[in-house]
Order: sequence, then structure tokens, then C-alpha cells
Amino acid sequence: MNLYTDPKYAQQLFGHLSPNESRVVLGGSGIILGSAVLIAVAPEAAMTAIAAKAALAGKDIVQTAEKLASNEGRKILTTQENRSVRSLERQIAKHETKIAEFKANPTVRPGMENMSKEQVAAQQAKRIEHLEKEVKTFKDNISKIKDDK
Amino acid sequence: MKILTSEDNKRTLFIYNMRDLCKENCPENIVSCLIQSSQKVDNDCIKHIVFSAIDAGVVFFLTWGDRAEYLHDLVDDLIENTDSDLTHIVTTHHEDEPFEDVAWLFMRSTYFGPDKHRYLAIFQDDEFDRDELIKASLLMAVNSP
Repeated sequence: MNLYTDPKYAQQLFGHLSPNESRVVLGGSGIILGSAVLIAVAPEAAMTAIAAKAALAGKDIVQTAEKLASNEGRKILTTQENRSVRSLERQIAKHETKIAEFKANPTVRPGMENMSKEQVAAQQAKRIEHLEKEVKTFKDNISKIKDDK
Repeated sequence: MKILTSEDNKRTLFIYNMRDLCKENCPENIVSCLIQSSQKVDNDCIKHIVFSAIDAGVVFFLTWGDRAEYLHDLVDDLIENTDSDLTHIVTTHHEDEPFEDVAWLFMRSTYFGPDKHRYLAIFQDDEFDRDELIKASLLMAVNSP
């Protein structure tokens, strides 16, 4: 089910408004639902338009939109959740920089001077593997925060 | 050592002074560990804490404070230079972020399993007892619904 292209949900969102009131025209690709509403496929744009329309139509429409967004696995993030997302995004940037720098200039740690080339290469591969797994975890955690899973 | 527990009993936070954990083992079944560091650390003490925490189940280490990045790199060195494969363990450093945000990230956004969660926070120099903002931030992260 796609919230933004399914006529059933468009009816829930805009059904109590007259065609003129519910005529929402957004940029980007979209589809016509019935004769009154054109909703963009892009979710963010659609949510913005729904929120703007709600200012005219009252809070019922916002509650419906939030409920439907929740049904889609999306939710409205709290301030703290937004800060956690930004913090994890900063960690992604920091760790991706570390990966790039290490690949460009692989370092040999103190104590590794007497290791064979193979052992040094294995240690350096482990470093990159660790950093890459961390980046994946940060991305997974951002998704979990946004999905409330 | 101090313990904070949420009303619904889902989150338990163990708070230690770093010097007290240099020789003791960490409590069991911990998922995430936050270490505050603003001064030079004893590398042997950190090594003991990190491996004790990993034995206790920790999969996410966060460091905070003026020397957070140094401490983070030290933890990474330990993780990457063992015979065991510990590359699944995540480390972050937050020297430039408010403690309130780091506390929330630590207790609400590092582990998403369905069970009751236990966390470990370690402070240098009795920082937890001296800093009301730290105390308030951790209380909020533990108790908010």
C-alpha cells in the first residue's frame, strides 16, 4: 500500500473537503486521485502539503496523516530522537573519513614492526572491516530510530 | 557504584568511577558502555575495563569528554589487535556534543533488542557526583517513556 497514491487513503485525508478545498497541487511526479486531488509521489513533499492543508482544515487531518504515516512504518521523531539521528550521522561521516584516510595511508601500529607482510595486511584488513561494520551499524540504528523498531 | 532503574524496570544503568573498575569486573549482561574522559587515562586500566565490558556483553562503546577521541582510538586498538574477531563491536566518540544528547543516544539509540537493557557509565574523577547536568541527563534518559 502506498499512502500517497492510494485513492482510499486520499479519500480519508481529503474526503470531507470540497474539491476546491482539497485541490493540492505539488511539484514532481504524481497521480490524479479522483477529480480533485493531485498528490506527489515523494513522501516528504506529500507530508508537507498535508500539514499545510491541515492548517486550513483543522487538526483531524493531521491526526489522520500521523496515523497513516505510522502505519507506513514512519513516525514523527521527538527532539531527542532527531538529535540521536544527527549524532549517528556525524559518526558515519567521521568513520567514513577514517576509512578513506586509512585506505590512502595504511599505518603500521607500534608492535607490528616485526610482523610478516601477510600479518600486517591481515591486521589492516581487520581495521577496515571494523570501520565498515561500524558505519553499517550507525545506518541500521538510524533506520530503527525512524521506524521505531 | 550507583544504580539507576527506570520505573518500568526496562532500563538499568550502572554508574562507576573509573578507578573502581580498574581491578573489578563489570556487572553482567550489559549492552552499551559510556566512558567519560577529560584527563589522561591509565592504558592498563582501560584495557581491563574494555575486555571486562566485552565479556559482560557490551557491543557499543561511547566516549565523551575532552579526551574522547583519544580514548576511542585506544578502545579501537584493543578491539582490532586481539586474536578474537571483535569487529562487530561499535565505538563512537562525542567530544563535541552536549552530554544530554550523548546520554540519550547511549541509552535509547544504541541497542534495540526487545528485552530489559542494562547499561554501564564510567566517569573519571567522580564527575557523576559533581556535575548536576550529567546526573539530570542520565536520569532523563533512564526514565523517559
